[in-house]
Amino acid sequence: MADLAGLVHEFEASGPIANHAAHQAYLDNAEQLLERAALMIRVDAEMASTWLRTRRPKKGRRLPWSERLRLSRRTRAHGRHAGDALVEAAKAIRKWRVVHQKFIDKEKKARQGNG
Amino acid sequence: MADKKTMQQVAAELEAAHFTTGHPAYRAHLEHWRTLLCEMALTLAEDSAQTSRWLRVRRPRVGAASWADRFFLSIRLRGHGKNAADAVLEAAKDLIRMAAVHQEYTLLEASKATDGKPASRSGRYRTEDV
Repeated sequence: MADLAGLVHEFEASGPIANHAAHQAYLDNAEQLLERAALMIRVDAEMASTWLRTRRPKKGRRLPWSERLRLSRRTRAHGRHAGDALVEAAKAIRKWRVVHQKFIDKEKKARQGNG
Repeated sequence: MADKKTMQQVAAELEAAHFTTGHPAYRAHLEHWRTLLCEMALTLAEDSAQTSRWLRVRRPRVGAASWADRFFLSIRLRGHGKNAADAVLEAAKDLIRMAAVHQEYTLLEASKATDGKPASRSGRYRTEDV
């Protein structure tokens, strides 16, 4: 599995409109990046919610367990929602790829029609 | 703006972060995520617009799709790109909400008025700010 920094660098550096193959590679990379970010956000939210629930502050008072439970639950829920949104974005990228494939097919058909 | 990080640096910091070491670290981690997602949403929107224009106006030497196909498909492609960008922005919004929850937590922890008790049960009979 490629690291996030590499995927981000590829996403920023690669131009999408050089040719069809480059565009397909760009879409592959973007989809992989979005999936990876979704996974990482989910895991981070789990870790943060566990941390907020179980932590003992060095200064300041520890919140009662009901408050800690509420806030950690909300943190995790927002993280899951963010991950779901990124998965939706990956889905949109997949639809984008289908449309691009249709473009390629149309051009191929036009080539064959012209002989 | 002098110390603006590249997205690659931000991603590397996201991967290496130990954000459960303290409140400032966690806040910075959320901020990094938000930066990366906002930038990704912008890039996706721009790239889909570029691609749709490219596929519409391009004239391959040997065979081009018909006029109607090119326009119809380019509009569809841009639509999917916009949807992707919107979804990424939605995720960025959620990261902001996580930061808000964290702020609530730190405020409750720090405030003498609530004294660590739920905000709904405290401060009912005091009007001054502590």
